[in-house]
This record gives sequence, structure tokens and C-alpha cells, in this order.
Amino acid sequence: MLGVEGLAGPLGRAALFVGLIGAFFGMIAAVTGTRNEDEKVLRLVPRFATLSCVAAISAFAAMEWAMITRDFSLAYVQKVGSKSTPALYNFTAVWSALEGSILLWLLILTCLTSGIVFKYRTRITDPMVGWAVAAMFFVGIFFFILTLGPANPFAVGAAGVLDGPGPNPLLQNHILVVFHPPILYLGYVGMTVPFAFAIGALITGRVGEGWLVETRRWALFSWGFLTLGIILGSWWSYEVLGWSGVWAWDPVENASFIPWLTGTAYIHSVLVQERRGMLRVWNLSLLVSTFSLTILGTFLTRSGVLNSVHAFSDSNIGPYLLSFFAIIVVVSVVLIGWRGQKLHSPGTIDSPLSREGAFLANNVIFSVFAFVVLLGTVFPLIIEALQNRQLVVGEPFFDKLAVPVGLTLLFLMCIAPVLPWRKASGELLANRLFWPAWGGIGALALSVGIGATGFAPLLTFALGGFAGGAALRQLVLATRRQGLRGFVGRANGGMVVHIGVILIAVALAASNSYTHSQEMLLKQGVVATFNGHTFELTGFTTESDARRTVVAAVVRVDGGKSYTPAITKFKSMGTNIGTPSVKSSFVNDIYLTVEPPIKVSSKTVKIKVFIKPMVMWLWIGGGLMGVGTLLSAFPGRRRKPTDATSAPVPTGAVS
Amino acid sequence: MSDELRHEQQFLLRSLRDLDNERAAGDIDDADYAALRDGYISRTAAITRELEGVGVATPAVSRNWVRRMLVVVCVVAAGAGAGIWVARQSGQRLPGQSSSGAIEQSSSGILASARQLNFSDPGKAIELYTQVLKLEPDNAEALTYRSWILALTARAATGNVKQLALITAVKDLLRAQQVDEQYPDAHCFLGIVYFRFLNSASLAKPQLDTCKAMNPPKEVQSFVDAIVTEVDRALAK
Repeated sequence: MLGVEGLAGPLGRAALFVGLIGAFFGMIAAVTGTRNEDEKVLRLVPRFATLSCVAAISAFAAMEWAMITRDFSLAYVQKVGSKSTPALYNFTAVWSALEGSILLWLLILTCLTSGIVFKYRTRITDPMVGWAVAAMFFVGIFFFILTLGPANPFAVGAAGVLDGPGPNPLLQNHILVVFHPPILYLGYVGMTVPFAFAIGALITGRVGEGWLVETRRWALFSWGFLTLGIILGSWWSYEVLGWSGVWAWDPVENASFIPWLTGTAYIHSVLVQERRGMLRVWNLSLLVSTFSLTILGTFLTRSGVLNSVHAFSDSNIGPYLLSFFAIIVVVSVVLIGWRGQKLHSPGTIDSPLSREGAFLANNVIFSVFAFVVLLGTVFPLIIEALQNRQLVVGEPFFDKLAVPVGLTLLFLMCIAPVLPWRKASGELLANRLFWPAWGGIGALALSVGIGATGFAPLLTFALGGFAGGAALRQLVLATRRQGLRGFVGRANGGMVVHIGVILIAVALAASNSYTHSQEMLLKQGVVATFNGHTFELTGFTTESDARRTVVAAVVRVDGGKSYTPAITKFKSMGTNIGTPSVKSSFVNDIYLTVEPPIKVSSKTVKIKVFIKPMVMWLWIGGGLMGVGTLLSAFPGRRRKPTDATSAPVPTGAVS
Repeated sequence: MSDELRHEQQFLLRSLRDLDNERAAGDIDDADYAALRDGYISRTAAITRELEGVGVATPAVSRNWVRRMLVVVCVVAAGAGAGIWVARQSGQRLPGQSSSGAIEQSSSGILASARQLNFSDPGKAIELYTQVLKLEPDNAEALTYRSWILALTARAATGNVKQLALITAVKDLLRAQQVDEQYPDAHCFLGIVYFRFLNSASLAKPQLDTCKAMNPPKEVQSFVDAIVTEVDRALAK
């Protein structure tokens, strides 16, 4: 008999099927309506968009319901559900494995499609909008097929299962699991919108600057969410994994970082196209790359081809994702080739020493960086596929690459904000860079004064000061002219983002170069000293419930507050997870972990201490990047896009 | 074609207007202004002439195929260079390791990787235990298991090499017992080494007794159970 408990599966499957039908007919309506200029058919598009969106919401709700009620009739709940998982982690368990994460992706995608259709409802007869919506439906169909086929979260499980292991222990150990995946997905999936409009522009041949204006804010928000998602992921790594690092060049981290790099290149180069009509093919290529890289990233994360802290288990979703990736790339390349003549740019770069020259340099660096990171990530997979050899491209490779690239980008951030369009004279540069350069000199002097050493970190601090000065100069000039409105708009919000990036670069340089660590055997009541700090083991705490046993060492730091690094044993999986404890301040973090096994009776514990300078500034920088992105999205009382870089803002101008 | 020319003409006219604004705002100095303006005006004039059928305009952007080929060659060379560099930077992947990057492992993490390689790749396992001992010279587990694998490997050796390996193994096992008196594995393996490799039942007996009294892990217990009777029999002779 089908009780309430078993309803989630059939409901979810039915919802997904209805959603697929909605997306399919939505695409057909958008394509035929646009081709035949049939307004009546096009008016059906919003209904189909709403239908597929409501269906995806229903499917997601059914999955949540199944998880909350522990409906072990479903294979997915058997895999990631557990009677002992607390409510919060039970809620997030929905996206803790392959099938649920694809469902979350689908939910966001259908909501975005609905949002786009709603926003452009009065312009649905515009062919570019029609084709863009059709492209979004096409992507939606693919994800509906995934959820009904190889990644079906509503597949019926084995009979008689009364409990499950719960989600991966690493995904039930920190609150960030609530925020990191959905925010990252908002970034990933959001990139579908500018991609769809790019396809619309290519099909209609309206490849001028109009489509960029339509998608500017969507691209910016997607980039902002991707940025925040990556930063939250770093924070999660720092707080949960116990190795005190924030970035390991793990394949899945790279899978999110590579589209971020191409996306960052795009949001800079798009300004050149809007202003100077150049880089049309380049911008289209960047958008296609960014979107297709999100699909490639999904393939890397979810197909089971790699081994990583994030990777989900083996699945047969890989060929679907690779095929979809190939379709996107081939169709986009063919469309760009087809429109080749129309993509010819009317403008040229008048001088390399200009804002567009700096943007071009920035784009080359971002693209080369993205390519080499991609190569380093997929190289071992290619070799494994061809030669059955298991290789690793280690962290030193990526670090060797990241340091010079990061320094060059910092240098560009010093000069680009003061460069005018077209051409800059030496005199103008000397004038505008005077105070920012003093900022760099001041930062260098301060760093040396407080004992910083090493060429790369000192250069980072100096360039950080310089670039910070350039960004502040822009903000000061803007706020002098416009008051608080000087913080909003792309140029000014962008400078807030730059300050966030500079803080992150400086914090990374400091924490990577000046971290001190030591393993110590602490005896209860005996004070140990390391790097000017004292550590005293004052006891142990043990908490146990049906799910886990947490044994924590209570360590008093510097004679003040106690911190409790712990080992948590998740009973259902027999997995030990270390939980670090961190004393944070603006100057440095004292990061404590315990080495297993903890023998409470011996009244001793082996701990590892990391003293890491400036880590908090990483999170502050990340927050500033988020705030800056928001400020960039507000046009405020803006200049016309063709106004000069330093042009005063006309009073009374309306955004 | 005329659409494109018209579009380019409009773009150049807009550029001229922008240029004036930029000069007024102080972004462009007089010399640059004059040069840029002349360039835009001559391009606009050429396009206008072509649109009016008076002459043939110089293409706005000359299709410099040599330059394009150079760009392609440079891109291909850079790609190939990057590929070679990546290949040179790659190395053997260990069990549990991801295909790129690495979360810096703690001693316990390296030990876990080494334990997985004990029998499949003893050389690499010894390397990993040595890595742990560099971080923690008194790590009883690393001392014990490195000695055990060394002793097992030494079986195939002969003469001085074998003797040297066994002496090192015994020395490190004794040191492991010293640094962690509660660690049974060091006693178990030392007992086995004494009996199997050095033919000394009398030295093996107390080690194996201590090992059993300490309740060793199951997999180690199985090694010990296999020889206890043989040791007793040898002592009885």
C-alpha cells in the first residue's frame, strides 16, 4: 500500500516528467514562435517556463520531504539519509551527493529561466530574447533528462532498508555546507543567462553591443555568486579539513576557479566592447568558455573520474555531461564562425598604454592562467585514459604559476584604474600615479619595518599598497564629485572589488610565507610554548550520541580563553574527522588540531599548532568583493557609457 | 557590406565626439588628441567616400595574415610549452591522492597512505615512513612499520646488505618500543624478525609474549599467532 511515506518518490518523478514536458514545449514554442514571428505562440512561452519552474520546485520539495521524513524507500535517501542526522544537515543532505546536487542545479536553472521570461515578457517577440529563452530551455531539458535518467534522485531503493549512513561526515560538520554549494551553484547556473543571450545574438546576427547591455547585470551577479561560493569553499576548507590551508588546487576547486577566471576576464573585456566596439569574438568566446567550463567542472566533480575531497562517487553521468559539453562548444564555434563577418570590430587599439590596452593584457593573463590550470587539472585524467598511468600534478606546479600571474595582475591593478581610454601620456600617468605609488612605497616600508622578508611577499605588499592607492584614488575622486553615490556604479563598485582582491592577495602572501607550525605533545597542567604563545592542556571533553562521538582536548591559549580541537568519530561510517579550533584576530590566527588517537586516560594529547598571519583579511577581502559586486550592479547617477574616464557627472542625470 | 560600413562610420563619428569629451576632461593631451583625431577623420572620410561610391576605402582593420599566422604559431607554441611543463611537473599518484594539487597531509595522513602501500609498493611506503620520521623523529608507528618492511625486503637480499638491513630494522624497532611503551606492534614485529630472520627463538619469545599481552590489532595478531607455536617448539628442543 502506498502510504504518505512513500509518496515523495512518485510525486517527485511525476514533477520531473512534467517539468521536462514544460521545458520541451517551451523551447519548441520559443523557436517556432520566433522563426514564424507568431506572437500567439510566443505568448505561451511564459506559461511553459512557469510550468517547468513549478515542477522543479515541486520535485525539490518532494526530495526535501523524503529526506525530512526519512523515506528510505528511495535509493537516494538510503545513500545520504539517516535517522540520526540532525535536522539542519538532513536538510542539506539533499545536495550532499550527485543526484540531489543535480536537482538543486535544475531548481536554480528553471527559476532563472522563469525570471528571464518574466523580465522580458513584454519583449518576448524580440527574436534575440526568443532565441535566448530557447537556449535556456535547451539547457533545462538536458538537466531534466539527467534527473530522470542517470542522476534520478527518486529512484526506488532496495526493500527493507530502515536507516542509512547519512551524508559524508565532512558535510555534516560545519554550517557552511548550508551556504557554500547553493551560492556556488547560483554562480555556475547564472552563467547560463549571458551564454543564452550570446547564442541569441549570434543566431539573430545582432552581435553589436545591445546584447551585452541586456546581460551585463546577470553576468555580474553570476560572477559575484561564483566569487562568494569559492571564498566560502575556502573558508569551509580552512574550518573543517584541519590542514590550515584555504586552497589546495584540488581538481574540484580548480573546476570552479577556471570559469571564474574566464568570467573575470569577460567582465573586464566587456567594457572594452561597450566602449570601443572591440573584442566581439573574444567576448563571445569568453562567455561560451565560461559556460562550457561550468559543464566541464560538473563533469569533473560528479562523473567519478577523479579523486578529491569533494568528488561524488562513481556514476554513469559522465558521458552525458561530456556530450553536452561537446554540443555547446561545437554549436557555439559554428555560430561564431557563421557570424564571422558581422563580428568584425570597427574599433582598434590606438595605443597599448590605454585602458583598453590594460584590459587586453588582463584578459591575456586571465586566459593563459585559466588554460594552464585547466591543463594541469585534466592532464592526469587524459594520461590515465590513454596510458592507464595514475599521475598527479602537484601543488608546487600551480603555486609556481600563481605567484607571477598574481603579481602581474596586481601590477595591472595599479595602473589600469588611472588609465584613460585610447591613449595615455607619460605626464598624465606620472600625475595620476603619484599618490598610489606612495601608497606602494609606504606599504613596503611598513612591511620591512615590522620584519617582513622575502622577495615575493614584499613585492606583493608593495604592489598591494600601490594598487590599493589607485583604487582609493578613484573612489575619493568619485565621492568628492557624487558623495556616497561615488561608491556605486561599475567603475566605483569595481574599485571596491579591487580592494577586496588586494586584501586577499596580501593575506595569502602573508599567510603562505610566514606561517609557523609545530607538533607538540601536551601534558595536562604543563604549559608549553611556541612562537611566543603558550598552550596548556586543561582537560578533555567527550560528547556522544547515536550519530557520533566527539572527543576534544581543552587547550588554554596564552593563559586566556580555552580552545577545543577535536576528533569526531561518525559511528555509521567509522570515520574519524578532525575538527580544528581557531583563535582568530586581525593580526594572526592560532589554529589548533589534534592528532589521533586521543588517549584521555594518559592525560596527554598531541596537537599541531599553526600560527598564520592575516588570515582574517582573506574573509574580509572576500566580503568586500561581494559588497563591491553589489555596488557595481547599481547604476546610481551614472555617466553615459561614452563619457570620459574623468568626466564629471551631470547633475540631475537619471540612472 | 554597406550596413557594415555605415556602422563603422557611425562608430568613428561617435569616437570623434567621445574624443572631444575625453580631451575636455583632461584624459587626452593635445598632441595625442590631434593624432587620434586625424586618424579617425581620415578613416571616416574614406568610408564616406566608399559609401558614396567615390572611391574604395581602406579596410578599417587590415587583414594582416602574416600577423595572424604569427599569433597562431605563438598560441600553439605556448600551448605545447605549457603541456610539456605540466608533463614535467607531474608525478606518480598515491592511493587516496587527488589528481591535482594536494591538501598538505599531516603525519597521520601520510601514515595512512604509507600503510596502504606496505605490500603493493614497499619502496614507496618506506619513503613515506621516512617522510613522517623527518617531521616526527619519534613516531613509533613509522619506526615500526618502516623496520618491518625493511626486514621483509631484506629477505631477498644477501650478505652484508641483508645483515645491515636487519640490524637497522632491529635497532629502529627497539627505538619504537622505547618511545612508546604501550605500542604492541613494535614488540610483535621484533619477535617475528628475531625468530624468522635471525633464527633466535629465545630473543623472540619475550617480545611475542609482550605483544600478545598488549592486545595488538587483528591483522598483526594473525602474524604472531602463526609463529608462537613454532617458537615454543624451538625453545623446547
